[in-house]
Amino acid sequence: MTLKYLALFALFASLAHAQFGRGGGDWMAVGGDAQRTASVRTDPHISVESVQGGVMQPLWKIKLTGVPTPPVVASRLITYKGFKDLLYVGTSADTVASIDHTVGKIFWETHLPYDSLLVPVKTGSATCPAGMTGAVSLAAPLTPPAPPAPRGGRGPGGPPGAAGPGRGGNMDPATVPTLPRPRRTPGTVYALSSDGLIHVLNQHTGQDIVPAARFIRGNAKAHDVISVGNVVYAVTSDNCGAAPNGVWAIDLANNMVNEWKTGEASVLGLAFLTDGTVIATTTKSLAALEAKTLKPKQQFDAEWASTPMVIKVKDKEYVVASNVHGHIFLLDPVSLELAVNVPGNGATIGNSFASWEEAETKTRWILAVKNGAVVSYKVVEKDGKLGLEQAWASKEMVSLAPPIVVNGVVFALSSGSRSASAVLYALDGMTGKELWSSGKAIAGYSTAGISSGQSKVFVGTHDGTLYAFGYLLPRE
Amino acid sequence: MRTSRFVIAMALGCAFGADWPTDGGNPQRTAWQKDEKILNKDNVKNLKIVWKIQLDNKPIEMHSLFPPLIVDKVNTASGPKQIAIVAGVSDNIYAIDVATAKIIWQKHFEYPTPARRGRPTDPLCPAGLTATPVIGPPNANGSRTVYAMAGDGEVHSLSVADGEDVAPPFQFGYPYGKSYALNLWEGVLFTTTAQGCAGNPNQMWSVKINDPSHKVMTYNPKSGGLWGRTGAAIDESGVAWAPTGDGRYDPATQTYGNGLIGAKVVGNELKLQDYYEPKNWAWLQSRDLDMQVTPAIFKYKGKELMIAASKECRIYLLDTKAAGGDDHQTPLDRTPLICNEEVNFASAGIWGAMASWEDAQGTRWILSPFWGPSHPDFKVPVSYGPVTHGAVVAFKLEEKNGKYKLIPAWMSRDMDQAEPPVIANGVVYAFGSGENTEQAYPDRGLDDNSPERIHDSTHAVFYALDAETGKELYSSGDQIKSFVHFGGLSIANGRVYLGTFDSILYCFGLEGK
Repeated sequence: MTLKYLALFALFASLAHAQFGRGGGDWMAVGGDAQRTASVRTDPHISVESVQGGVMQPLWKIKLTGVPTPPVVASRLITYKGFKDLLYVGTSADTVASIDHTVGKIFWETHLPYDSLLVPVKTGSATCPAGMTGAVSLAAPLTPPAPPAPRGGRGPGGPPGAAGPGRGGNMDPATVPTLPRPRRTPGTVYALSSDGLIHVLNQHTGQDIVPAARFIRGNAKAHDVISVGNVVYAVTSDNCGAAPNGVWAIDLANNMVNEWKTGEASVLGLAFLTDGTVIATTTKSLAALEAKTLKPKQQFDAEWASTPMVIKVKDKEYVVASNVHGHIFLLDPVSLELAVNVPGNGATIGNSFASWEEAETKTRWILAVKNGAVVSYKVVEKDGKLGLEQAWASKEMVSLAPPIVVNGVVFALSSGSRSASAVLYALDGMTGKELWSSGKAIAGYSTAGISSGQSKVFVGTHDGTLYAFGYLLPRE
Repeated sequence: MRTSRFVIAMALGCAFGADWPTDGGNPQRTAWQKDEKILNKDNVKNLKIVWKIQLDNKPIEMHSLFPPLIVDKVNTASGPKQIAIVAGVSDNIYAIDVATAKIIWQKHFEYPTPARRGRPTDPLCPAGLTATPVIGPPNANGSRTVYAMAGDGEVHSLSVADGEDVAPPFQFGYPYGKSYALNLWEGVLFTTTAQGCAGNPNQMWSVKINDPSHKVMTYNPKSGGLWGRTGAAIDESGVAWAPTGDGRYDPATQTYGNGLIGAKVVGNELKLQDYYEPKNWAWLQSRDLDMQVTPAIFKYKGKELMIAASKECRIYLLDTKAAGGDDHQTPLDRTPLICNEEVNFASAGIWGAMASWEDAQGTRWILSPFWGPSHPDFKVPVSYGPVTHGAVVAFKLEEKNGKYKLIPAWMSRDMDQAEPPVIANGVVYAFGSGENTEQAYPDRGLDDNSPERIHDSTHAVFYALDAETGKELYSSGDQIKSFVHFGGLSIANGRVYLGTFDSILYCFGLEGK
């Protein structure tokens, strides 16, 4: 090992003890969480300082069957093949792959067989791509999990042990490890295949736990798939495959499907209030829908242009969305009245946001794609009124994908084009200063966007390659 | 004729008289019987079960009989006898006349049921006696005492000859706390605890046998359990070395997870003397690959060295005077991965204890069992077919200009969950436990439960191997009817012993010897 790597290891090893919060930085669904904040609050290895110190490294790339959607990430699963840190990625070829993201090896891969009387669409278009279009989802909690409690003995009445189950036993509560608690039972992966069936897959094997259930019409353009409270939600848009546009929910307890059809209006996306209310945006309205039944509770008609995002400012929730005129709004989640209106002056705003909260000052930050650059706003309060104050803007990038935030570091993907490869950038969340870029590590352009989890950032490209950047624990 | 027979018997008695007074054969846990004179490479092909005895010990979870301790020439009321002392998990101690396979005496420890116990069906935490006892040196009268810790943590001091208490019992361990094999060094008893059974602290324990107050001295490395199968190994300075389970390494807070600690009794305290931490401890922690193998300690070219290992499936060579060097993280040598390509926390990796011996030419040999398939990148000059379930692997230790190297020598035939071997007179004795070691399942994830594992276990197979080549010289085939969990081999005076889950003690030897 060279001195350089020794120094890096020492830096990262010291950082490993510094900060680790809720749940260990998993990524549950498109947009990261039920509120679609596209953020990982804390991370043991990624921070502004460590990225400046060189922590971001190209880790691995894997060729998949089909074009990948943004992966979801789970950690410390106790599988029948040992402790694994797995991500799950769906592809346009109706496959779901599980990758051990600490070693970059496929753990399992499963093909979801087409099961519909409708003729499958083999060749798609930019508006209506063929195959599986929605990213897979894990079971997303409505509220972020609390930081792990101290762990004690494993005797009667005691909580499960903190250390491994092998024979490592339990630890003194004063010596809580920096690792998240291992998950002892297999979780589930929710995948909406191109035939319109919802699959509930065993995280450890990729096998259907229950028979796949009919959810939406086949060949639809489905996205924003997310499982919340044993109900899987998805939206459809652009009437692809002659499927009606709408918001859809299937209760996995009885496979009952409810929908909120939106006619000609394409659905842009959805997010959840912490009480379970579904906030959905279409090209014509923003609606608050009852959980599971999708009965409208409130509606705000306008020409919306983005997926909604739900944030908290001083413990009160707000909905963030933008319209086709480039305005960015904060809305009261119950009345849907405007709390903040940032004029857009005709700017083009990207179709989704990201948000993070500064740990020390509790300042809430909102990130948007505006005219091809990442623009960062602070939520400020003046005279009892909220406002957004622009803090910084990045340079313009080619086909900039919606940014994400990991522990105060903003990751932005220049998706590239047929003539320019994608480039991933890391920016200081406070200043926008460029901290790192992937340079020429990515070959080809991306159509999928990015996701993160467990000190890594994942980028999928049009040729079916999934790239991982970030930090790996030294194995040697 | 009578005289000559007596003389021959006396001569043999003096020549033999080998003991196996502690788990792993000696306090250094080398598992090497230096005094074996009967069994050798040429005759072990004729091994047979010379006797087996069904004991009335009730298995608890997967545990049953612990490795027997052997003492020769014990003066009993009916004359001198070679005695095997066997502990059973249901708080039983049996003394068996090796010559006749008859029980000379037996003890059952009674105590009020402790307030806490491990979860029923949990293989990790049986509610009973779990520490292999230890036999002390002869006293002035030549009498021997066996020290046995009952499930309530009390140590009983029993006469090997008749099982009578030679001293009042005293409290040492944690009730139902799963103590590991006792070790004894200059009047100090050592044990370790793991798995947090019944709420125990995971730590090293010691007590002076002759201290009237029997003050219990402990050292807690703030790690996961210290679960080397044969407890702590003790070096020439009296430092007890034990591996630590999953946890962090943070010397600033004296936190030593996934490492190896050495502690010594100083005055009336058990104090940390030294430690070793693999540089990739965080990786080991993240995958539950903890260091959990009792090391073996030996002299080599004037230095005292130690070998340790982990579920990751590497062997580390360390200097007992400076384990891991100045930074505590630099071993004298470290092997490549021998097995566990899958990075599994169960059914793969090195488990149990290490072993070591020296041949007549002065070559130092290192032996390790492992579970699961051998690593595809591990190259060994001599092997005996593909290894899929486990094997014993042997290394030679070499030193040139102060640089030490573990050189792969041979890998045995496939064994169904190879357990720690023992060595005697150029023969390695090993066994595949036949135990089902799965802890997690595709449909359920982690579900480590005794009933299922017992159901899915098969039977142990005992082997004798040429210690220089690994060639199989004997196999018990399907003669052993049950599996082994936390049992082990003992060898002395031409007999090799193994206890199984069904509480049968098998004695292998040569007919007429």
